[in-house]
Amino acid sequence: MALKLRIVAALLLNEGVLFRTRRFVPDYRYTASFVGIGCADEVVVLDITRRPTVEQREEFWRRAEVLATEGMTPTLVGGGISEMGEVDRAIRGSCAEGVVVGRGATERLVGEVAARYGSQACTVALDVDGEGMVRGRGEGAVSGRLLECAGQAVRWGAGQLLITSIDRDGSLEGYELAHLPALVASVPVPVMVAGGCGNWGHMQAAFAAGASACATSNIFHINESGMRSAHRWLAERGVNVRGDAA
Amino acid sequence: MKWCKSCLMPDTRPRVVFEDGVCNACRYHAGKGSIDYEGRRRQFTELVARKRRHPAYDCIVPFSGGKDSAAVAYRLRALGLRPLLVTYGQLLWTDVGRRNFDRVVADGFDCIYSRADQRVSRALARRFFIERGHPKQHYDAGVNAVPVRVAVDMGIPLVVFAEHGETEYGGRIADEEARRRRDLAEVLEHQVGDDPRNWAIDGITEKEIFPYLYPEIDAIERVGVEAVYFSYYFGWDIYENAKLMREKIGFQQAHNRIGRGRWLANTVPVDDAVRLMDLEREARPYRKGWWGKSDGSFEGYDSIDDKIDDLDYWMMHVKFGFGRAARQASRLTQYGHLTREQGLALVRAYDGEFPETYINDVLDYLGMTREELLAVADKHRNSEIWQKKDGVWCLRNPPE
Repeated sequence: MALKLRIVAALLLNEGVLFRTRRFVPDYRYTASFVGIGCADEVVVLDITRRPTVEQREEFWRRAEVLATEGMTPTLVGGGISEMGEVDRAIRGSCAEGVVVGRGATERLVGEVAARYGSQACTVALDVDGEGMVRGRGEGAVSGRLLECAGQAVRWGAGQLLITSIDRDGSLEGYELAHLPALVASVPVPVMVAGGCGNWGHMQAAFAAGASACATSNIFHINESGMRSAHRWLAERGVNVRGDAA
Repeated sequence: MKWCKSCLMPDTRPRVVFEDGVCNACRYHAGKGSIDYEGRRRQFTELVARKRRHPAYDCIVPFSGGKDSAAVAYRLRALGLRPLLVTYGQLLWTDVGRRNFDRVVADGFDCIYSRADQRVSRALARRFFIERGHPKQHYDAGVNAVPVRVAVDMGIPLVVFAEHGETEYGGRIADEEARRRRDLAEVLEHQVGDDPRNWAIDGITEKEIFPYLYPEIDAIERVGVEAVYFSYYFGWDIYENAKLMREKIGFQQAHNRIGRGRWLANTVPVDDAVRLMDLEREARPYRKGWWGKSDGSFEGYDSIDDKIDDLDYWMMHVKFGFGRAARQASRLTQYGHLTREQGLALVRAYDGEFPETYINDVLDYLGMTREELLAVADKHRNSEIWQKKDGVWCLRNPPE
């Protein structure tokens, strides 16, 4: 049997508050009651605060811990992680299953995470523009062609890639799939896509193009039943997701 | 949960933006005096001239039967235009709503009436009530999609919607243009809140969700359909709309039964403010035990066409901590018809009143018992907003 394909709720925290985004810019806040994550297969909690203060970062950790422990769903934590101390805090302190390392990804950090917690605990996030170029920022950040960056991240020890389309983020027009089949063929690890999901059909298309997991944050009403309806919708159409997700 | 210092809207309203304790709707209304409505009226005339392509109709007006869309139709007619009214039928028409609808249409308009498959509609209402606490999610999709589809199919490239809710009542304003022109992404996300293509599960087929689908962008662009807001060009006041329709067609308001439900315990004397808000008080004497108001509110002219609306507003109170009275009091405070103090008294008295008047019809439509409905409601109760005191749900931060 093949591995089940995963539907992932991506929760973006701006200054500790849940936000939706558009082209990576915080757009407006969600109301907490919209978000019940019990029915997602996995949750990704990301800090999207620009240059957070110490207090804001603490608030993020507090929220991340609540989501990871009370959500009863496997959780990855990321956003602004650039050193092992924060990785330990996420996994040991916040009970996360793993971390997402984006702009802070270096050979040393990714390698250390993989050595200490295993590759499965290390997802490297690559933010891709319309031309298929990875956009990074800061010292040591990966930037360059998608396939090259992806190969590099896997060699360093990444156990999963999170590919987010910058242009599609918040558009609800569907995932960017142009580069996905080639990427999936070139790396031996699961690929999670994010950015642009507007309906369950978009997930169907992404799974068909080779994604192992589809993340959605801006799709409205990530509530328990909404996620359940996504599973049912996809299962009814023959996609290998947990059709009986409860 | 914080409440606006100037009206009675809390910051739990989705997308509302607060600055110095004041919501963005209040800021907009405070600055309205500087708007050049004369100039905007000229812009509108030019727009109509540019979009005049159909031999009979100058534009489409989505028409619910209520006071607001009726007022738009009458005010456009007064400008010498001939609008085509397009109605997407309510889930559960009230008698008074149906009567008002008939009176408007009988007064000299062409109207296209669209009625979606009610077997599907009932199934979706039930599903959305359970899943999202919002039994009208599919109605929101249909009421937005159908007028635009008629515009595309009939080649009438101008659709005049009533008001931009995010501007008038608080929310997110993408840019100045969004106040004038209807933005498709905004409509899908804020008003419908979902893509209807997700709904074809559990025995509902893709063919059956067609009435809820927005026309393809290509088709909209080919016909050049532009959807704009009347409120941008001509200003907006729901109470004035109600008065205008009272004058034009003898618009009737809701008359709900007094004496059942929560509000009995909270009854306040009908003060001057309420009397002012009551369209019919002077027109005719009241039947004993009845009052011209809707459940959960202190007035009886807003959202009175659909029996299920009363439940919808009650659920808004459950989910976000503000109900129909707070919604109406905020608007009327912003227009200057009520003081905040008067509004506060009304909110305290009526917000969250159980939708008793039509509950049996609604339960029948949803295929539920009263106990099941209450259990679903409690699942949607936000514990950040509510706490139980002596077995009763209370707001953690009531308005003050």
